[in-house]
Amino acid sequence: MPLIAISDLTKRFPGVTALDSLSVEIEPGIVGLVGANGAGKSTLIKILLGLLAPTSGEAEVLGMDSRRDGIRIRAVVGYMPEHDCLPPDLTATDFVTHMGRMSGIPSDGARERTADVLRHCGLYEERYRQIGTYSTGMKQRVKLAQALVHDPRILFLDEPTNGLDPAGREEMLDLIRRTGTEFGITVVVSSHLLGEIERVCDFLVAIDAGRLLRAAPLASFTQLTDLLAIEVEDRHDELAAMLGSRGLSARVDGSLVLVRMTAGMGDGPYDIVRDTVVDLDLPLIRMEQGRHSLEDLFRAEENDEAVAAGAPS
Amino acid sequence: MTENPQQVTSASGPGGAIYDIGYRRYVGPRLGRRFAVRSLFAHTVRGAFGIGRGGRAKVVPFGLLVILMIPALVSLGVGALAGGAAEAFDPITYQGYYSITQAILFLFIAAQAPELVGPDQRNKVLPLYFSRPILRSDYAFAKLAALVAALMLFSLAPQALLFFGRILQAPDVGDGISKNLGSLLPILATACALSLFYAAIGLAISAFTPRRAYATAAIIGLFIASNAGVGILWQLLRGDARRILAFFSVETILAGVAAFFFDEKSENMIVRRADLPGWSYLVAVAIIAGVCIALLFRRYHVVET
Repeated sequence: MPLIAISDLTKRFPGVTALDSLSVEIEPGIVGLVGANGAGKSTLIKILLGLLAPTSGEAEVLGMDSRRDGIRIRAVVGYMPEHDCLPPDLTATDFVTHMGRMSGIPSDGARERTADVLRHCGLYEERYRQIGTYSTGMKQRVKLAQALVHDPRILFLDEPTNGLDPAGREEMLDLIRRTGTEFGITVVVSSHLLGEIERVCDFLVAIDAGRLLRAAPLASFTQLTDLLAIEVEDRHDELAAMLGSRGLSARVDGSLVLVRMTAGMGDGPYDIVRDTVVDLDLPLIRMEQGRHSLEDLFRAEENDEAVAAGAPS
Repeated sequence: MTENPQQVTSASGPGGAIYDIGYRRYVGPRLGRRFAVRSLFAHTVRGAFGIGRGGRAKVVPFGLLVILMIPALVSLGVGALAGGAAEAFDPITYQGYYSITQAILFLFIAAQAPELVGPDQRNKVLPLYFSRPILRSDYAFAKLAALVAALMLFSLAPQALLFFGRILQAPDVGDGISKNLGSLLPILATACALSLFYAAIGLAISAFTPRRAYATAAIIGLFIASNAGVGILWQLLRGDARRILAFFSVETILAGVAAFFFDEKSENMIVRRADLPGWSYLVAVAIIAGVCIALLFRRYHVVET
């Protein structure tokens, strides 16, 4: 049985459909929930926590119905919200202990767990200081600690790297990786930055406008993401055809010609592209690899499938 | 930090051994919703007294508590100096004490009620509470119960001092008990009504205005406007119609309730002159507190997180 089973889940708010017949099953591991801002990630997490009732469809967490068993679900899952959510006038120790008790852990156990999880999250002497004096990175650690204090079976992290500087992001990602691997807790981590999330996840669920785009092991995503974009002024078809005849899988996409790169090809394709462009005497405007935004990935994904289908090689 | 939770490493030295046992699972009991609500209750009661929130937070609650005890201490002091002779002249009665309590607790409510519910909204801590094994209504209930409990402590502390002081000061303790025992139930009942009434009003206002200053101003405004308004209108109006004014100020409603429970003439002039049935004040308390509690629960039912 999957840890989380979502079938045909729809959530409508007045004037907007946040989730649109979403179906997906989530198995143990570190699961990335990717989508642009407003894609429905936070709504999905709130439904799974039993805090929002879906308009239709079902969501089961650890075999419990999210509509009816919200309280039982929330006793064994942890949640780290996207925004600031900490009282500045309490110490990390006091606050996390309080949150442990709020999860049903008796006082002694809550204190012990607090010491454990704060240490795991990298807070040491600072934990006796008021949270208001913390840096953003330290606050993120406290937010993670309060979600871990009751030793949950599933951890929901909503955009955990938001607002962090590059070093802070790196540390947070490392913490997430350790939580998932060392602690053996299933982590569902949402992000709008694919480049970041793909470094820690082993399974990816991509949603867009409330619909499931794709749910698959990370490996199958990255296989397909390496595309080389070549921008030329005209004669795209000619270029694509010539590249195809020289052993590359290429297709035209607007003003771009996309070439699929496979591991182990080395610099070969670049040389072929250069020579082909020279042979055709084309003005080359730019050549670019990799995608910086999620939207690009999804677009490329579809294109790449088309490439694979249209140009067997 | 070990790579593997099962792996145990040790570093032995002259001081002993340090073990890194990695991540430990929690295997103890999970007490669930009731315990969570009780914890929030206890946390909030402590917060009402400023405990666990630094030194400055304690100034107002404990300062007010001290002020509240002074009349009882003075009364007992005079009694001790004058012996039994002072008893007849002692201006402080159990019922009358509630008019002092009422005025001081109004300041307590204005200062502390916003502090109990405002920060959770301001700092957006509510989503963390709501992601725990409790319901939104549990949160509202725990906050309300905690403030009622804190107010009960405040209202009963000076009464208890007075009560036991008078019993011990009586020439004959048995005699003292029989004289004072009749006041015990009225003391408790009035404290209950007062605490519920204040807590409901204070929290309903505070829950809707998370900004502390606004909530405090609104509470002070409501109390002063109702008390002063009724006082002025009482002087301006004549005839039977003005009797109904007694239902429109915090002061007269609570004075009426106290007189009803103690089964004595009220110390409040308007209540005495209005001469309304005592139970009607209790109904007024019930209606106002009921509406405020409904608003409070409604607020937490719909508040965005």
